[in-house]
Amino acid sequence: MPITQNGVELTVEISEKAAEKIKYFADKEGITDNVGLRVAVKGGGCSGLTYDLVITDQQRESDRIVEQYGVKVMVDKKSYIYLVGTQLDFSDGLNGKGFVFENPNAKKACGCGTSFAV
Amino acid sequence: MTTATVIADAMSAEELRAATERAAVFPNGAGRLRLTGEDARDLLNRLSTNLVDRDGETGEVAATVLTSDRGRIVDLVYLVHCGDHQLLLTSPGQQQNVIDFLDKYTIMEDLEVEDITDATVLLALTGPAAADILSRAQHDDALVVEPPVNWDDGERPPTYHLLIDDADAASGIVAALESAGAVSISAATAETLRIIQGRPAYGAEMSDTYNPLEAGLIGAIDFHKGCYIGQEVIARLDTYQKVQKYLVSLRFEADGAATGDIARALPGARLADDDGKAVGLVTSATVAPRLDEAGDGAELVGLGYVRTAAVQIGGELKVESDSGAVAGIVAEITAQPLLFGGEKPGLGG
Repeated sequence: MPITQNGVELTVEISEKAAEKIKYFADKEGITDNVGLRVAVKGGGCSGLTYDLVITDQQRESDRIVEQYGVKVMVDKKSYIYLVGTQLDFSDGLNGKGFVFENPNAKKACGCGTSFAV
Repeated sequence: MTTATVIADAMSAEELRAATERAAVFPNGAGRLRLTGEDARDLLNRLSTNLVDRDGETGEVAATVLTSDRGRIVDLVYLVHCGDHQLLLTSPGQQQNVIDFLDKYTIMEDLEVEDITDATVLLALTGPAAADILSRAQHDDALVVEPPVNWDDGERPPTYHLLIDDADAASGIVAALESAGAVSISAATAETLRIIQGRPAYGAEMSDTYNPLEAGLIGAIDFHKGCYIGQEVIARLDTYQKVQKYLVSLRFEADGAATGDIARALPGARLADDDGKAVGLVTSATVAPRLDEAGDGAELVGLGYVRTAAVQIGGELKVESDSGAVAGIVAEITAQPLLFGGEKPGLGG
């Protein structure tokens, strides 16, 4: 069931910069049409749960999909409850962290930010 | 001070001698979980301290510690690669806690967990002659679990585990092991053996109160494998040498009659330094027959935790408790046990 706030369905949002990077990596993998990013949650990481990103053009029936800046963000049903409202950005430069998650469900995160607890 | 005479019964001395000089067999109460699904090993790698190779080879045994996000011990487990599935041995009685822990962190993974503890028999075969006896005894119906690769066999003899599907077959295998020279020992002797060998038990020395570095499990931590739950905390404790206390082996000296009653009164007692400051805690104790003497001597030995600054082999601490049952007893720190050695497996290879 979709989770809404003020009548708007919450989902996973990506920034324009993140979308550009996703398209760049997709292109390197030979994916130019139907560029998708699968965002999932796995057990592990310092704090208990960790993010998993996969570039793909294959969507699944159970996925929630939102297209933003030409990228289809796909989130499976099970990961959705941990990710709803998350914003994905890309931090570049020498000290950049790469893909950065801003997840309102995370009560705490590890130092590098790729692992969190709810 | 006159050291009290501790009498251990002749039977337990004989059993302990068999376990330390030849080989002993006893039922092991470890929890047994059957894991199926292609993500089982990968998930265990993400949730525990040691490196668990995603593929691995059949027969491979990994000793690894499930830790909380605070780096505390959930359980010490042994993951056995059985080809088409994995066997996970937990501490006795901890199988449901381990199932719940795995379940909490299983989101999309392909993993099925079945508790087979009640449907199987697990035998432990331990001692210097264990391998030889195993090779001579018929055990076709058993799945043999080898000692884990990082088991510190320089300090203690190897322990093999045999997983058997039915009780009748188990009695046949015990008989075959006995014919080949192994001695069946009681649960009490197995517990004494555990304490002498400095092996932490869940509840007494392993729990959410302690982290794996404190419990002497550094040899089951891979410092190079990357993230797992609690990794940041454990890495920081190691890097900055912030480990607060360590598991130690203790020998107790008591005036008057030191008996099994005192051994039972010791766990929970405080350990205090010369100034009377509490620096530790007794966690396990037993009456152990002395094997290096011809007579029927025995001694009180145990395990405990002592603050890092007070850990000194040969150092003596006073034993105290509110009830006064252990008044006048002095504990000597005899060793700092490291179950899997002191090497960091991620470094020396």
